[in-house]
Amino acid sequence: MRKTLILARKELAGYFISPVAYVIGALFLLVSGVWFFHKIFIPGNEASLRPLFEAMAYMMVFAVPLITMRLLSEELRSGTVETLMTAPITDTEVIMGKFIGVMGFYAVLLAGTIVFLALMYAYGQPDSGVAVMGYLGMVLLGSSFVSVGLFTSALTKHQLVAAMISVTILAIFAIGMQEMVAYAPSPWNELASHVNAMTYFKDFARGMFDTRGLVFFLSTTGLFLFLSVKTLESRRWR
Amino acid sequence: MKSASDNRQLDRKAAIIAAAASVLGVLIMGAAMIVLRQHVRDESLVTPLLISCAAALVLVLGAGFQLVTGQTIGQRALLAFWLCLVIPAVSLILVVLLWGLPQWLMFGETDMQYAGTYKTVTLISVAIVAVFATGLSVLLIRASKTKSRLRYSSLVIASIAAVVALVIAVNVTAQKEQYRASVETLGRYRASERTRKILSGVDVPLRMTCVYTATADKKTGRKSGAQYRQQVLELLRDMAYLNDRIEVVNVTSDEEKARITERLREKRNRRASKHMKLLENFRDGSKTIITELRNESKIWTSLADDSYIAQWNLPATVVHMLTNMSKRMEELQKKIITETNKPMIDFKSIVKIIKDPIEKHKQTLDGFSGTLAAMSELPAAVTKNKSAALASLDDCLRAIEDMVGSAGKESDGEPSDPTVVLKAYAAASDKAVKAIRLARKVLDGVGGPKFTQVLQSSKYWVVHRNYLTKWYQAIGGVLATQRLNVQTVIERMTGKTQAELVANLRRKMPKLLQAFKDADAAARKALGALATADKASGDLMEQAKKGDLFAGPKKILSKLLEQIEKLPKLGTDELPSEITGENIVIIETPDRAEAVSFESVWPLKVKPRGPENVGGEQKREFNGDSAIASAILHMTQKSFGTVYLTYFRPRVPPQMARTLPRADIEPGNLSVLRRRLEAANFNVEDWNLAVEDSPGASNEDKNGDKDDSPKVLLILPPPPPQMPNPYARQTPTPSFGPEHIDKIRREIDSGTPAIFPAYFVWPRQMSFFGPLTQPPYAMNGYLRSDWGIEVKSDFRAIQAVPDKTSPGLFRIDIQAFRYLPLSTFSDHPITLELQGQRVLWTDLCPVGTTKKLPAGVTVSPLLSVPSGRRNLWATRRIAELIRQVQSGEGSYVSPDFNAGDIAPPFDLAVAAVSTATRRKVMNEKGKTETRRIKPSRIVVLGVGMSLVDGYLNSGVSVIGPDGSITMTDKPAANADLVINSAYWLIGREKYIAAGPASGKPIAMIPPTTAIVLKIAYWIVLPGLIVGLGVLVALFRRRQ
Repeated sequence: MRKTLILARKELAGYFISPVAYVIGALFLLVSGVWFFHKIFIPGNEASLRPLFEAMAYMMVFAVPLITMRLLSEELRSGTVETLMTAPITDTEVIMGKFIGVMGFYAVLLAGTIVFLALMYAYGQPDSGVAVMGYLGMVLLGSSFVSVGLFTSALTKHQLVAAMISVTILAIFAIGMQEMVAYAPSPWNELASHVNAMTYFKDFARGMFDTRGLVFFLSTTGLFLFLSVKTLESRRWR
Repeated sequence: MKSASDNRQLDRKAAIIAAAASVLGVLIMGAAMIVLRQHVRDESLVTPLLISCAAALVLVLGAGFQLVTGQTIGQRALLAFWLCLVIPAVSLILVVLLWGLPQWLMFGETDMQYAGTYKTVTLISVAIVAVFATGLSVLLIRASKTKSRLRYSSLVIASIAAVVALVIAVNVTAQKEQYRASVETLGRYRASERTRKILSGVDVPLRMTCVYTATADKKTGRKSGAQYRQQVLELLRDMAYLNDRIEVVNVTSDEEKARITERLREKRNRRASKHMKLLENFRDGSKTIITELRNESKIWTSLADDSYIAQWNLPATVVHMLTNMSKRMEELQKKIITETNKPMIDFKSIVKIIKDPIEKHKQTLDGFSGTLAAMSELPAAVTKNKSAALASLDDCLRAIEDMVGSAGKESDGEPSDPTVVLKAYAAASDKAVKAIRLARKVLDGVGGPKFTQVLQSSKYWVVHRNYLTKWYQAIGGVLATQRLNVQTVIERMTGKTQAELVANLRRKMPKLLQAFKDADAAARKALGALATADKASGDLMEQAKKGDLFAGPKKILSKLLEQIEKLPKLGTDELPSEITGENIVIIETPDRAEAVSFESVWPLKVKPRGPENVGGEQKREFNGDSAIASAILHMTQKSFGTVYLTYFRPRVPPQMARTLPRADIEPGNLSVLRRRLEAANFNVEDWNLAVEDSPGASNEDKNGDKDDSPKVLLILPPPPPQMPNPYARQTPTPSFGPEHIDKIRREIDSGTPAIFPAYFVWPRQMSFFGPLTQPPYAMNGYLRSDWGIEVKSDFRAIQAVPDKTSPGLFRIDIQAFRYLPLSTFSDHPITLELQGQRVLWTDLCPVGTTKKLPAGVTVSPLLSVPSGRRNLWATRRIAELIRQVQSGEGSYVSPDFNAGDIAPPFDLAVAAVSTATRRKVMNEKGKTETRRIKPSRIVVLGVGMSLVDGYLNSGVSVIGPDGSITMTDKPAANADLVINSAYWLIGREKYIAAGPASGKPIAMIPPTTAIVLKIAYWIVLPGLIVGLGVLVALFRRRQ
């Protein structure tokens, strides 16, 4: 665990010395801000953070792959992965370290949106329960998105390819399934609603704690982390 | 070509066995599919299933061949194939075990009695596939050599499959064993407490189908159904979580909607078997009716023009009538075909469509048969009186001839004594007039009194374009006038004038005689024609007399009408009109179905008034919680009882109606409250105290059965007495008085609970010259004596803003004057759930109690102004305060408790319970007697004016700090006070709950602040982060 945390700290620090992370952070806040002022923070509108959370969830489909694309791809491209594999650290520790590191950066990104919450409290009476559950939902959604990004990053040494695969997978589970729920015939729409990340996330965004969502996000996180470990591990016998 | 590495990695013997087993396995599955295909009801599924089997066979054969020839790719492909079967097979077993067999796995079989068989077969076959596929996977892994790369990759693939299967299993189990909890504090996005209570009472299976499939229309700006669907589905799924018997179906295409409609149609038609039979009988019967009407028409067409009944033009009329009738029946046939081809047959309207015309046709045929039957007596009646009539005509003609003769001829020359001639003429004229009058009378009655009108309709009863008898009457009148003229001339004129008159008479007489002869001939001809009926006419009249005329069509029509009368009432009458609508939620119980319309679930949001809000997209608000829960409530529960809107409106002639004084709250002003009560599962009826002695009396009279369901009286304040008008004579109109209060007292004493909405009554002109006065609350006397409650309707509660600089001074809060926010409800069962709800009031009046309450009465407060609220008090000086503000003296006011203003605490609504069983009352003779009474409950609300239309259903304008106006939600929760009271009064406290919560909107933001915020959030904040990144990058470069 100690090794994992050391790796996670290193990974997190890596973000703050890279200008890309600042650009992503600024872009994320800018897009969220524009959305917030144009669609949500309008006098007479309901003082609710729900639309903001939903919008941020869709933004994460594109933002998370950008922050995860370099995780292992960069190691593979530069060859430092060999150092990692020969170091006294297991593949699982490597993956978990990187995962925790990215989640740290993701949390910092989310923390930036608290300014919107403050504004909402200043001019309205938003539901605190919705805010708490919304952030919990964002963390759970983020963990599964990050695990997908980590997995795709383990697949290739090209960062952009990893990002594109990641966006595709996330878009399928967040947007594609959403469309299937809306337009596919039964029973496909029912099936889609069970694998649609947004179905579960929207429950959190409206202040609803649902174990189905919790299990879905945690299990998909676990699955993709497992896949990442296996992908990394395969380099030993391939 | 196999490589050396392949040889090193594969165990050839095990590979051959695995390949053979794979091919055998797929062949067995294919064979099983061919055998079982006969059980697939939906034939469109057979081909895809067989194609899938064939494709699997090709894949396995190909991969097996590769494997047998030593290619590792074959082993990987087969391993992936079998693992891909294991995962869904395991998931499916889990799903079937947890939820039962999904509908789609019944392959089109809709008969649920086979569900058990399908489930067993599915479980066994899928388990066999899972075990077989797992075994083959193991065999395939063993086909790779130990420590070979193939073995590693095989194990990785297998472990991934196991993890995927585990993830699916965990998720499937989580779907079933779910736990949900809303941590929302405002309750905007979850099922309301009321809905939860309604759902807890649902003990029948309930299927809720969300059909939000409307497409977007750019031209009209209409959004697609999908854009509104999410919130509806969220609510439905919340409801399904709250009650296991609820199933939610999401329909996404019009094809699926059509399938559901078809299923509901079949289900409904099965239940409406008698209605279907009626339609069948109508289809067959209408054909026979049309044929028979045409045959009848032919008979009537064949009648000769001079036939007996043709004199009334009856054949043409009947032919026209029958032709029209058969045409209408044809049109009706087509209409019924169109209606029955609709997605959902609206039996209610179709029965009306059939009933109205056939009732009319039958009435027409009956009426005509009756007329003809009556006319069959005419020939005999005329024959009987004919000789007398002819004799009278003879006398008349003779008298006329005598009269003409008495005047002489033109050729006779000037008479020597014209007076003699005129006197002779006058005498003859008298006789002629008498004879004419007698003839007219005899002719009029020739068929007897009942045929007088019929005779006039005969084409023979006409002379000189006039009815025969009328002509006789007219000519008699003319002759009588002329006789008077002659007498005057005889008495007052000279001989010359008399001679001129004689000459004049002589000139006219031949024409008069001729005209009379024409009339006489016509009358004789008419008598002949009316006395004898030809054979064809006689036969028809005989048929009519026996009731056989149009017997065929009439019999079928009667049978259909009888069938319609016996039709049972269908419980699904609400469905057809709604099912064709777009964006609906269909709610089905085993014996009912109902569609909740889009307009109920997503009504239009109130739009702020003002020119800046003209045009643009009108927003909608979500009302699904109320609309869907109400539909569920009345579909799954019988009506809880009837709320009677009790009012006083005397029945007066229409010309007086306008002068009647109007009550401030009329039943017509309560349409929103009425709808809310109906949605809360109450029937709402009217009780007019001026007309009926007890509530529902008129319904009992109509139906003959007594309604035993609970009753609640909602007693509207009666109108003030009529203002006397000193300038006009007035008929006094009945006014509300002790006898009407007695009716209410009797009803409440018999155990019927009541709600008394009262309010602050504004001063008004009560007499032409008097000052403005406040009419007292008419029920106050009763409430005081029987319940110890006193409504202070001359006091108004006002809320003001304290002046920060002058203690004791307050500024009238204009916003709160019209919309007073006060939700200090007590812990009483009626109001406990309303605590903290957004309620707004107007014209509030205090409701107090007398010092000593009557025996057995307990009064509990519902809504109160607590002590310590310095800025809220009740005053009767309201007009004075308004004058002060309007006159510019200043908007600062202060309560004057010495002048009678009421300081907090005081109550604004109370509930009372009486356990008394006897009450002393004054009888009609003025003596006191003890009457037996039943325990009862009442609720007195000093918030009456906050429950009327225009207040309950209008958005609330909120004035911002800069004077701008924002429109917020309407105060819908006000009605909950009445609904909860009604529930409490009938003992249904279980259903008392708060409805959907409404959120507080974002407040007005001054424009400059908005700009500053946007700059901060759009430019400064992202800029700072980018700047920080640049600094870090620069710092690192320097290092």
